[in-house]
Amino acid sequence: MARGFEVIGLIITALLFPIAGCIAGRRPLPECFLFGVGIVGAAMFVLGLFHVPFVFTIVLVVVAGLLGFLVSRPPSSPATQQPSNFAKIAMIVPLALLAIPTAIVPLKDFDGRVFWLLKAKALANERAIDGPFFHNQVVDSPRNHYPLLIPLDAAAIMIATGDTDDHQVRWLYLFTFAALVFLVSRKAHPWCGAILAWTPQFATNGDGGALSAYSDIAFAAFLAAAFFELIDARSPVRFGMWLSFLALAKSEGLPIDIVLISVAIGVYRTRIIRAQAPPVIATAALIFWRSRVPMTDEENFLAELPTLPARLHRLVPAIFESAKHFFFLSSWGLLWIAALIAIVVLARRKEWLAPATVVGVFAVYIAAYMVTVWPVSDLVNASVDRLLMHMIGPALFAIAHVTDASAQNRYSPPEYSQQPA
Amino acid sequence: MRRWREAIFIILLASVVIPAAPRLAEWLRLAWELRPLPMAARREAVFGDFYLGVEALQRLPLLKPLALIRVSPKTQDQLFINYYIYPHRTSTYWNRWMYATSDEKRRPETIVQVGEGIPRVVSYAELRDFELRKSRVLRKIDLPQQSRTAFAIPLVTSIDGVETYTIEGAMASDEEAHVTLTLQRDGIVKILTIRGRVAFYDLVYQCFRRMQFAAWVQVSSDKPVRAAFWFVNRNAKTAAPIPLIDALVDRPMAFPSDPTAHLWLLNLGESATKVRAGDWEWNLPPRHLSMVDATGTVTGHVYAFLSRKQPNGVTQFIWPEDLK
Repeated sequence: MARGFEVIGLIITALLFPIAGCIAGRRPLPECFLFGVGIVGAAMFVLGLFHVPFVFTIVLVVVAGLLGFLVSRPPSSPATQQPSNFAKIAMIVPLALLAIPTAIVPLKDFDGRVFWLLKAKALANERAIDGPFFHNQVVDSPRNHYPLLIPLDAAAIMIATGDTDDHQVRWLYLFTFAALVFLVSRKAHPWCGAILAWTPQFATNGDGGALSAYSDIAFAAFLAAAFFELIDARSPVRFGMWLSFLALAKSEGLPIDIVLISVAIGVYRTRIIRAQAPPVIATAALIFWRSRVPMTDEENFLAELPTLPARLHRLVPAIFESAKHFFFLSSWGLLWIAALIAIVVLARRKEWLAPATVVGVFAVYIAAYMVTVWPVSDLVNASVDRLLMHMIGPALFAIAHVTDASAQNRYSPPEYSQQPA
Repeated sequence: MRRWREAIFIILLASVVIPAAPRLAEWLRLAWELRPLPMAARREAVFGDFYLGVEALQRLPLLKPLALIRVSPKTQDQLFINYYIYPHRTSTYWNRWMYATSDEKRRPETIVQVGEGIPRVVSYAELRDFELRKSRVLRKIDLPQQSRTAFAIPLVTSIDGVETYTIEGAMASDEEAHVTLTLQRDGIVKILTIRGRVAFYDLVYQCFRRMQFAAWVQVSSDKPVRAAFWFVNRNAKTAAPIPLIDALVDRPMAFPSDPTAHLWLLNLGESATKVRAGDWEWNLPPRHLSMVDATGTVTGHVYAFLSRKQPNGVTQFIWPEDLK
């Protein structure tokens, strides 16, 4: 403790989010953790609009999570392949090693400090989502319209620890990464979990990786969870919850929600209606909040969207510049090359779920690159690796699905099986 | 089948482990090095002097808002300062001019210099000097052949108004010369030892550490020095030469009467003196420089000159030496 190894933040992170995540019933721990990350931040945001005290909201969500744990039955999850010992070790070793710098090395990334955790400190200090900080009365708040879900999670930890220093919240980012790894391991393939755990862009990259405080890993985890809900095709409501977390985690969450809903219509058919409420509430809350706080220096892509037809000439450069990053072996190894091959194979097999999701999400980013006021290559180089992170769930699923025929049976994607009644 | 599938996974795993392992080792090495230190010392080790500056800012009273003024257009340090000193109130200014032209009543008094080194609390004059010392308007200074041991610079300034004005120039001596500069009329003294050439980008601030609207400087030296100075508008990038005065002009000085110009009256002496300009008359205190309306011919025991700002930003001077 005296040396800066703060275990309070670790304990609170390890307990708060899995417990809160049980609000929708008992699920495997990684899913509970990710659901907890989503529900704590989303509840603090939505209730924060009505100025419900953060502490009250946190307690409410935890109590609801405990009730959910007690009253629900253990999940009857589909049979999963037991990971081989080698895959298991390959998955756990990097996560265990990453815990060491997480505990010791100070946070040193850009966006994490400048945007996300500065907001978290303000939220923890002002206990409001529209306090003086968000009206530029304390500092010039950069990216003032960025969604607050992850900063609210960090603020919850800060409030619980009574300390707004960033060393208390580092575990949130590592555990979110670990939860994503285990989710992929369970839902796609154990080997895919191991590959993800070692992928440099996630594991060791200082900007956007598990040792930073960006929101991209959480966003990737929510997107992966939503995608796997589509594969399971069981609960449109839970799918909708993941969509609401996406909307409240990053600005690109809204267009990606539209992509995922479009894809989900083919899965849920008329049941898609049940998935609508959470993202609609989240979107309405986000729009309402944004109408009450000033925009600062963020790029207004929505306002730039009408310029899209006039910027069609940027389509090819945007695709070309982005596609180059698929081959950045130092960040991705052969992962995206394999994923692209797998997506093509799935498309040829007319198994559209993963290809449609990846192409749809990618199209959103290409559109953003086309309308941006930045030079295309500048924005691509600054962001595309983090955007590729977002699609990692569907990409790894595609690899698993193509390379392991048994995956088709194990996950019973709706293209191949009858939907539950 | 199963084997080749596992082989694909192992190849994929190897392709990510190979680039990740050295970077992970680097993180672990850093963690091992930082392990015995408390968190503040770890940050000092990682962020260097920048964090030392941040720690000094963290010790400032919270009630005092800070003006974060960038001295480099590329720096993003203000963002990190805000992160580390939150909830300290700050206002960010993209440059000195944004601060200088902002509402005096609303802007923070305490200034933090941001970029190009440690963030630190400075005065406005220090901040201005940090910026000015990086460049000059005069590219080349040719000194006159004439050497002097005593002279006066009739007008010096170091001021920000709508624009920034300074005095640029140089002094040179082949032998070691001890030069005494006295900023009048406050009598502030600066002694320079000159051997070779000394150049000035902002004479008043460099020598006397103050910003001053208008003054004059008395110079004396134990060895002859060659010198030349210019009145510089930094924004317009213009420079007007300033004559060095050895003696008063003992004749009426026929300056034009011009409502757009200023007439400057300089009493170099140690006693008050009467001076007349057109129909007006003043009693000028000793060592005093006054600015009045340009109302015509000047008579009296003074050194007078006229200044007029032209639309292009150039300040035009008419010196007694220019008058026929």
